[in-house]
Amino acid sequence: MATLTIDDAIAAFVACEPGDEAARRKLRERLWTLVADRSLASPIRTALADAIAVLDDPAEFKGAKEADGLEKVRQALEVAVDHAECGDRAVSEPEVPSVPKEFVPEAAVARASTMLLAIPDDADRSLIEDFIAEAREYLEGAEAALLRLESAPDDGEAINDVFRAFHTIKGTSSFLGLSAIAGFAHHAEDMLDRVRAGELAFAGQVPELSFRAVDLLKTLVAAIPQALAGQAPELPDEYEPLSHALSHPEEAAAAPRARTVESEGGSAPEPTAADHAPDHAPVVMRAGTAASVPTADPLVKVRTDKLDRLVEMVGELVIAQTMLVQDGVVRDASNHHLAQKVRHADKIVRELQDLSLGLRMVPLKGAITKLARVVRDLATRSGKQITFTVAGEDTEVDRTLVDLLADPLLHMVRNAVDHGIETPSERLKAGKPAMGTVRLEASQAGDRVLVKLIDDGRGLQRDKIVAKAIEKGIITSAESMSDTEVFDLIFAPGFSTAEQVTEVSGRGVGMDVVRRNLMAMRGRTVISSKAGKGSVFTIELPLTLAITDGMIVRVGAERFIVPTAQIRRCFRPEPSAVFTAQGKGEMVQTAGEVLPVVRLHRALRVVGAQEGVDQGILMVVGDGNNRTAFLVDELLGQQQVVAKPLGDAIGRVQGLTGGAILGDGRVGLILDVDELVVASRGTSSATGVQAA
Amino acid sequence: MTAPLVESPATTRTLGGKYLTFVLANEEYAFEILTVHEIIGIMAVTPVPHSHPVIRGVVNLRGKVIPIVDLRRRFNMTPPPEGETPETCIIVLNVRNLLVGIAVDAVSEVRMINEAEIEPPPSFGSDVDTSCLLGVANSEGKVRMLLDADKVLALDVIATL
Repeated sequence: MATLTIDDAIAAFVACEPGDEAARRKLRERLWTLVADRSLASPIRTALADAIAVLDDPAEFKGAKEADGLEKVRQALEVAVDHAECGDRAVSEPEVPSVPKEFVPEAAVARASTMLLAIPDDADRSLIEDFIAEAREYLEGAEAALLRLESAPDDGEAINDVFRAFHTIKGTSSFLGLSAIAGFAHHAEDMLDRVRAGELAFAGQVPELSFRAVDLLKTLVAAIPQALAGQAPELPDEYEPLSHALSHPEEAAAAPRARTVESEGGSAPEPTAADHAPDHAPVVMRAGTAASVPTADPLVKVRTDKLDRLVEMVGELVIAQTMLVQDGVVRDASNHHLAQKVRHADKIVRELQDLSLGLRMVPLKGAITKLARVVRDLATRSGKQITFTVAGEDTEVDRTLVDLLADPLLHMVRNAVDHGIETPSERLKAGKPAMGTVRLEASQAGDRVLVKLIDDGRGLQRDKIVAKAIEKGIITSAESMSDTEVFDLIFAPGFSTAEQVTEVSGRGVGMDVVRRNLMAMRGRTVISSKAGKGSVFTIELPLTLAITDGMIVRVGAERFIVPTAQIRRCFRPEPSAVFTAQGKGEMVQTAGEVLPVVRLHRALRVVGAQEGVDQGILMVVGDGNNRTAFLVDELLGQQQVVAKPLGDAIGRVQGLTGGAILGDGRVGLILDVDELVVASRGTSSATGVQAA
Repeated sequence: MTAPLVESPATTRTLGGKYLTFVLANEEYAFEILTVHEIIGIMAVTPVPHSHPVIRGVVNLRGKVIPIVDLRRRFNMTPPPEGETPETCIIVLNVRNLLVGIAVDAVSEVRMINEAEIEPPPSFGSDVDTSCLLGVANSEGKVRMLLDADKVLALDVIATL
């Protein structure tokens, strides 16, 4: 069978006269053939699938609208042709994760002189994967121990921790045939062994070398997955010189220091701060729990996907149980014994649910330990003296939140060190101790987690923020704004710019992204600050993302779930409170404000819903300028739901964050309120046309 | 994470083997038994707004949310005149490690189809899309269309809509 090309589809399209359904059917078949052809690049196939979606939408081809429908098909085809032309054959590789084996020998030949992180052919993959996790744990432990050593260089237990980390990594990696890692860990272990034996003092270059060794090992471990995929990565440039320095720490003072090399040109850091004599270490880590040896706790390692599946199944059990309890036979009071047994089972199931949710909870420690290191590095580089203290690091949150918290926390800490804490001389002038304090406090309040970052620096400067916001065109005047509103501006899109956040880290996202990510986790940020005294950044998050408090609403015959946290209030509007602008945009006046109305059944294409605004319920959602009223038919009640993705087979659908199993076993869709609000702003004219 | 790294493309294998045969609009089709995950009764489908028209919606498969593809819409057929019957059911397929349900009029049987009974897909002209056919099985006087699940669904591009 001859292979079809896009040209064939175009030929079929040209044959499509209005009203000619046979020609359209022919076009559709050709499009499907092309869509199913995985030798075409996926953007092309996506565009063609778009075209089919238009063809399949009966609304597009009704009578007079047919020309519009064909035009839309034409546009989709044009996109496909564009992709085909610009990509040509170069991008038309199948999207299957094909391991580009043929690239490997080529690369190896080209860089014969550089060393590669190679994996032996007969390596046991699962063992190596275990090793990655284990090595990470040990390196984190080593880093924490090194930070302890900075304040107490004689802490023998801490030195042992670091030594044990290097030793274990060396042993396991050499057993697995990862010779590059084993070799390097060996040098690091040697140096620490000399420290342990008292031959070498933990002073001078030794702390810095140890930190760099931990960093390099982290890099190497992080590169293992790439090597497993068949592309052995090069060893970092630092590998050789650092190995040498570790074996000869006495002469290492002359070796170039990678970190100071990349520091900014302008303000030179105070030389004394870069020099690590332990008596004025810039950062003192005073964590509450000193010894955290990973081997001490009786723990079992469980694969996370198994854990998730267990939690999921328990969720199912709860739903099945609810259906059982609500069954007519059980509720019938005549069968007393059955009711008693069901109640007993119910109790067990509830307890099981609490337990299983607890399994997903992990201490925040993981996200916090890294911060001590960040503060240390930043302070060293900017010549500041900072004490970093942590409280409540054992507060438990959902495992997924720990990862998601890492970025916001990093930003906040960076902000506090860069902009909050002053240089020692400035601080002394202001009558404060030269040593600044940054304090991180985590705690649990009800079903929320609070993470506070408190610094005793100069505080946010209202005037500077206002000036910058005006310069960036975010506001025109700040006359009527409260301090809180002004501080909130630093989260506005376009406020925090590259020069502000990346100077130190070289990368990073803006504060607006941080806030958006937090909102996506149903979190909040609050800033309070006093000029000259310092600032407090607070992040507030739900304990778990697994369970959402949802309001179940009816739109037409469909039910949707709206996260309760996003609903400000609900009301039934008076007909006189509904207005239109230019005969199109609908608004409602309520409690002294005027809000745009979004008819959910239009946004979600549900038929058979209430048309009259005054016959349904309006639900106020969103914050500040984004406040919007959603029109729904009915509120059906509140329920705790377990949010699930719609599955990879469907992917991400606009306006939805996922689905959840409702009490009757059916799937209810969870609305993405923010996205629906934004989408309604974008297409307000289009909905207006439909309304007319 | 658990996905296999290399999936062998189905180009050189033989077509003979066990197939699950089913009925759609009085025509007989079949999927390779290895792609079939399970068969479940028809259940209430929740439509998903803004998804591709061939996706009828999502259902709850023991706690997993899986999409249901409407094979009639995929093949541009009209909906069944009699609506859903007790025989209507959902075949859950495992395609490239994704679970997808397909609503069909009735499931017939699991059948051994020999290589010799299979002919390459005939050409019906451009009106009928034969690209998703593995072949046509002709045995005991009945013709069954052997479907290539991957090509029928083309999930990777439908999903992004």
